[in-house]
Amino acid sequence: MIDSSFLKNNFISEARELLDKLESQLLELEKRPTDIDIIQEIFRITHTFKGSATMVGFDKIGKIAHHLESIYDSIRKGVLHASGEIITLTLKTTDVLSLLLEKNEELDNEEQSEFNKLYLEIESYSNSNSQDSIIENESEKSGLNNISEIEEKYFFIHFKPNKDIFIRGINPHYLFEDIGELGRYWSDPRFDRETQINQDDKKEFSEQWIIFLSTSKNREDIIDQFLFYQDDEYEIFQIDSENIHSDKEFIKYYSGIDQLKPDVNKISEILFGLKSDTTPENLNITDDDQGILANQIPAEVDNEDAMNEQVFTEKSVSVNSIESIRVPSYKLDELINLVSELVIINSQLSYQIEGTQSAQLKKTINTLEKLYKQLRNNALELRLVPIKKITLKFQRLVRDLSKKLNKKVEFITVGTDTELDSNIISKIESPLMHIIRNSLDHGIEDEETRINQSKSPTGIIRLISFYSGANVFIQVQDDGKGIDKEFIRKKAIEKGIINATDKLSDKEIYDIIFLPGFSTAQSLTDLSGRGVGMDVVKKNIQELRGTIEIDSEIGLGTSVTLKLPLTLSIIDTLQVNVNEKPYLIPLNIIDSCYKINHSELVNSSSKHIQFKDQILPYIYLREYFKLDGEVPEIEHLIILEYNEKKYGLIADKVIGEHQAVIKPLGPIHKNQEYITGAGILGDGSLAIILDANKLILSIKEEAIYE
Amino acid sequence: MKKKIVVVDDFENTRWIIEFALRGIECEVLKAENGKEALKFFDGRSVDLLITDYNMPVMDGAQLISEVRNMESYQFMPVIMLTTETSEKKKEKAKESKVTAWIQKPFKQEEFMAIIKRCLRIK
Amino acid sequence: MKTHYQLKELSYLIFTLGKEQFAVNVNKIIEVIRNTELTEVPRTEKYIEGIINFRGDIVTVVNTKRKINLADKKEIKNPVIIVFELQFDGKIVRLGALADKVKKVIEISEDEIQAVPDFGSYFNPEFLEGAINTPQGFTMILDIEKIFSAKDVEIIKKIEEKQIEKSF
Repeated sequence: MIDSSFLKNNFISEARELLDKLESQLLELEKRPTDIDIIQEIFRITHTFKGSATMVGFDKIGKIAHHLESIYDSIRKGVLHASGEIITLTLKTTDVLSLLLEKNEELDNEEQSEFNKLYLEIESYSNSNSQDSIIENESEKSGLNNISEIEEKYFFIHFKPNKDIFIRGINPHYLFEDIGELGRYWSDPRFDRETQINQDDKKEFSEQWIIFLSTSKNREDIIDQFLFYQDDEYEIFQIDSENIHSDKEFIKYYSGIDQLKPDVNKISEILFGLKSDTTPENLNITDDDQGILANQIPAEVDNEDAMNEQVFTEKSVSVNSIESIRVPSYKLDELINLVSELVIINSQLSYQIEGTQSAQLKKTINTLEKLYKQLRNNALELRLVPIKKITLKFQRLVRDLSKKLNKKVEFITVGTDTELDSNIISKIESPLMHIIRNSLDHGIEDEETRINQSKSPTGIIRLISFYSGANVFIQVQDDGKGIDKEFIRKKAIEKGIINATDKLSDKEIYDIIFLPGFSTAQSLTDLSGRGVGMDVVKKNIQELRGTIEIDSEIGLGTSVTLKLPLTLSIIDTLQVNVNEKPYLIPLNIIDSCYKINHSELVNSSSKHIQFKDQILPYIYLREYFKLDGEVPEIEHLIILEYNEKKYGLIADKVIGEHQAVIKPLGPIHKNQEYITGAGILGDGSLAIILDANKLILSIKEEAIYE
Repeated sequence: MKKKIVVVDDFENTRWIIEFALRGIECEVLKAENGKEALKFFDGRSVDLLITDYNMPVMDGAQLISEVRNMESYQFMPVIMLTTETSEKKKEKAKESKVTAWIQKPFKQEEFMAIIKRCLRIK
Repeated sequence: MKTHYQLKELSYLIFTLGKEQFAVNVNKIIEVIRNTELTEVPRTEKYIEGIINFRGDIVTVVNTKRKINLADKKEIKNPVIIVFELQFDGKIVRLGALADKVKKVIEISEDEIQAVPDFGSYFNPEFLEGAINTPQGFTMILDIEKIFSAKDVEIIKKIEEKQIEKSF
């Protein structure tokens, strides 16, 4: 089993790349629907995909890929035409394939019905030109036949519990319940839920039953129901209307039963009465049927496969020359961990030799330090991924959305080789999606408007990325109508966010867009406002320790700029102590630090503190962490600034700045939202790095004073 | 109502795995180290199932069962006897103790849960 | 692939928690450490004892007694930490487990492992690998991967929530 899950994981990462390739080829194909090279490439991708998926046991995926393969096989043979319809369908299919990958093929009901719909659609294309379908249909039929062969069987049960049955803690009522679950039964004497037995009879119980049962189950299943009974307490015979007259053993046993019982000739009648057309087993057939169909896929195209393999081996070799090596990201993390550890050990070393006189030793250690730092930078670089990795999705978004909105839009990317930490890349995808969607929906005007304003009829959205210092900038520009500052101002006044008399700079006005509840409300269209607003976008970017800014010129367009750190793994922090234990707070959120008397806190009401001319909400770390211990008289107030508001954080002591390598705490702690990770201090011990943004969010909203 | 199950075994490991197993079903587990200690649970409250070891110091399983069966409220209560004994004679003795089912330690996987679920009438 | 004819010799580490004795497969153990400084994680689950710096990595240390719900919850004096390397969802995770004492490593053949009861479909099954008879008595073999799997934690939580709901 471990092997297969390993293969699966391997396949998943390969499959993601294949899907990306497939998507980009499809977008190309849309531009040049007759380009045979593209068609061949798509065919090759679907072929590879099908092969690997089936091999590792992704049956649904394999099945879909198989149909895609036949569709593109037909296209390359000229039987089918790469119509817009087919391309759109294939694009939709890639979405479903990624969903299946993500969910390990376990879809919920809604997704499953989506899947079924799409599957039928591609199947119809694929079958229209494929011979495999005939074979498949036939095997479906034979599958059905096997299942409908389940037949009803009849059993005679003589149930004769010993006298101590109740004292053994067994209630014969239950036996009848259990037998009833196997099928229909007839019993003499009648015995069911309502039958009462009085306490005295229970102590010395003497009763036996004749039971006839109609069921699709086997003898063993019936015996299972007698789990608590001893062998001499029951007798079971499988019977039918014929063998009750011929089976000598049965006849002998039945005639030997010393109690009132139906005449042998009546048994057939009883059995007929038990006969039923709607036993639950019949209903199961459809389910099983599907199971069988799902197992049908792989075998049928073997010959074809072999042929394709020959045709394409040559080509795939030339395409896949080794430019890069796939390495699981945890291995990189491990490398970086080790390297950071070296840096830490090195700093301990420099600390320990401080007293030494040996200039030689000092020099060596200095060189060592330089090398370590270089090594660390190199190691960190390994985790960098070009932004190209996600722009394909944006291309797709612009394509689908512009069609839907009936706008003409060109999407241009600049600097997509710019690299970012892979963790950051994956987290900016959805914020960028949102921004681009906004540009398309609200920025770019429709064709007519653009022509009237003597703009080019095709709108342009640019995604530009570049480095600057230790940061990466990503900008989304559009040449649309720009943001109407006056409109925002009015809306903000309406919503009570600002006063009519407030004088705001342009930047301040644009920043209103990022406030919670502002952008989601009125602009809630089908496309842009999927319940998330720009406030969420900003929050996501801030979580990455980045910033976001808007600039706009009415009539000319809008640009949104993200500024992100190159890597998430190193952070400048302030070390504070609470109860003699160190904690680290990211420096970029800290405004200033002050000493404070504990008495001031005691006197402050409802977690607010007077600071200069402001009243600030605060978090008292000692209390928040539920720590006991002696409270110092003088504590420290750390002023944090978030979203242009100030908050307080109270610790025992401020120790000093510390550049920390962030180590994730791992999945066990995923509910500890206020923790970013842990950092290693100079002495090798650990300190929790606090996520100050999350801490602030936990301060109650209503407690914030302006 | 939550099922109440009394588990009696002199070995904590065994009590613990049984309790852990039973956490999967809605029930309250009352544990005791021997028969004598277990008797305190049979004070008139409703008990849905007794699971007891056979060999225990102070008071063994068979004695416990006969004591409990003598009380009006528990005379028809299901009882599962755990036993490491393999000899037929010991089994015979367990049978005499009027148990619903006996399970040989270490138990077979399905058997254990199947028996418990059936005693408690849960699927 | 396992063959059915050859019985494997397996190594298990025997350790104690209070009076009770348990065994774990040594394959997943990377180190047993003593005298390490634990850093507390505030506001976390009760069974999490803290984190340690283990070869430059953060390793979470679990209070084993609490995690497996042992009746004896007495705090351990001078505990040892058994560091495991486990796989969850294809990711490698290191975890530490507190123990009183580490006794010895025993070699047993596969057929000496006895079955333990099933926990039913309600529970992540087989978090015990089995049991072995040692001179000290019946010893449970813990399947450490199952005990610490995130799924297990979630399932326990769900069960507890349900029980709380029902008891109101």
